[in-house]
Amino acid sequence: MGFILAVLYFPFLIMFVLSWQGPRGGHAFPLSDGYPSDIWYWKLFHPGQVTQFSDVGEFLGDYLAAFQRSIILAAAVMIISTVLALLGAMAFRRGFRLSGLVFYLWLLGLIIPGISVSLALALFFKQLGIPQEWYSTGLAVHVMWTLPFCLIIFLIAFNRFDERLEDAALMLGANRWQAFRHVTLPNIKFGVLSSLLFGFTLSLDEFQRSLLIEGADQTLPLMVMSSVTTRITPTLYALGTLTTLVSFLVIGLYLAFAARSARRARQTPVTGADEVAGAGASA
Amino acid sequence: MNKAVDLPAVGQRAWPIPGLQRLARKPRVTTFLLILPGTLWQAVLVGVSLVSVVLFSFWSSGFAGLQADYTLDNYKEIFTDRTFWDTALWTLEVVGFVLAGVVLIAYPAAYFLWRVVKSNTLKTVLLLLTIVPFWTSYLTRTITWIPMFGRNGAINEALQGIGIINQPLDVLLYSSEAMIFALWFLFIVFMIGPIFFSMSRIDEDVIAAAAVHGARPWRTFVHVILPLTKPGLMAGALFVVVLTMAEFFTERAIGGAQNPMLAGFILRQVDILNFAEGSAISVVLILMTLVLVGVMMRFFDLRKI
Repeated sequence: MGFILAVLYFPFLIMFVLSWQGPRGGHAFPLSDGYPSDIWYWKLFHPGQVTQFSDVGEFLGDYLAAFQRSIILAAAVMIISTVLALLGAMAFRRGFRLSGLVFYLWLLGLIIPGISVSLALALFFKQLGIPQEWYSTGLAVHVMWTLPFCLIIFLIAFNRFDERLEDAALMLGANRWQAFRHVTLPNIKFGVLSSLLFGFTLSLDEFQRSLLIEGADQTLPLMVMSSVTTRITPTLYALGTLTTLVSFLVIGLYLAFAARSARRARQTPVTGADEVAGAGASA
Repeated sequence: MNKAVDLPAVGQRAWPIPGLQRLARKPRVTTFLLILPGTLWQAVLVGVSLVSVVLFSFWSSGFAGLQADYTLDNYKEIFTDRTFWDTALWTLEVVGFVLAGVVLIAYPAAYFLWRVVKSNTLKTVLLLLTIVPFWTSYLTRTITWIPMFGRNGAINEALQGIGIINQPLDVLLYSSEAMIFALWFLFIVFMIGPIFFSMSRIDEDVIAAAAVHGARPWRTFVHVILPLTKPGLMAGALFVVVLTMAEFFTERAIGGAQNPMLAGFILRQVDILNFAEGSAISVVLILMTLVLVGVMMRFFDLRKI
């Protein structure tokens, strides 16, 4: 276990160290003179500006703008995906004809190799003359990728949820919307949070499907990919360090939130019982 | 006078459109509406992708782009191409190596987490620690491999410093071994979670029963614990297989790209604008993946997690 954690976290250390690489240094060791230098961070925030150290072929793309696009896209994807998956999970829970088939259809978004999806859709859009942008076609494809994951999360969440709580609420006089809002939803809050987090992360790092179908304005992973084929500079590590910090921050928030709601859940005996009784009485 | 059936039930407000409320109370209608948006989204995207890729695989790549002359040439070309078969075989081999490696690394770790670690908080913390890197950009992490394992990289420098080796190891980077190693650690997160999850669902009484009947630890493990963790194993395996079949970035960044897998092969066709051939290979890749998934699904129903 220790070995696993070491291998998993070692890259972050290296990334951090190399982000302070000297101005003439490359993306690998050795550390060149001028170490430590924050020039790579500066380059992140001043894209396209040539310095005395720049040379031919240096990738002058705007990483931060791409990062912004990725974040916006990921936020949209996480919301859409969570909502659709939640609705879907509720339908699966009830059971319906052809549910097996529909389930595999949702899973196909995950199973079909990304590059094939990307190629197929790119050619399709080209044939029909549909313009490809990160916020339209990119969004569609990202949700296709995250939906199955979110669905699975909700199916697991509903598995652990006792339906009798819901039935009790309905019997006590709540209508289905009230039962959902005051009994079901609080109990699957963990699932909702996980789905949001998963959807966000999956979208943020998604590149196989979006590779060929984003327009000129790319999301971050695509920009990173093109810099791999042109030239890797430590600007990438500066970016990596920053995004990792942001990720850790988001995870920290998520954990704090989850821990807080877990503590509160342990304190109240049956979640939602009081609210349901109150709702039934006031109806 | 209002007919009795039109009055809303106790606790409900009347809707402005009366017929609609009666319709909405029909469970089958609501279920249909619930499942509709997501299914529609997937159906459109999956449908369009599959139909397109099959369709375009019968076209040909001209200088002006795709031309709609229906021909089997693309398939003839790839099925008679030695490189294609080698690539396909190599892809399956890699999937095997990666799956084996991930299971061998992740299973003991999950077991350790389940059995050896006593405190619940520590279990959660360690599990989270394994998952957290997943929330960061996989691309940048993979690129960091280069300074780590390169000839002048951290590992080589360290090993030389200690004196274990005299010359830098070249196999650590730009080799298939490096790619497979990197993929192991990429996919561990998909394995540890599900395996640990199904382990934690094992009823302690079952293990106690086995012991009572005289089974020694190893026997208990093979005949009781292992089968009970099969759902977790299969779920993880599903992710690993599907994602490895689609993998091309790690290959390009640190695998040396000389020996590509099918996905990388497809990308190469796209780079040289052979869209029709790329589509044909994509069709084959999709079919292979579906077959693999189908085989795995026979042993396991995902909804039973």
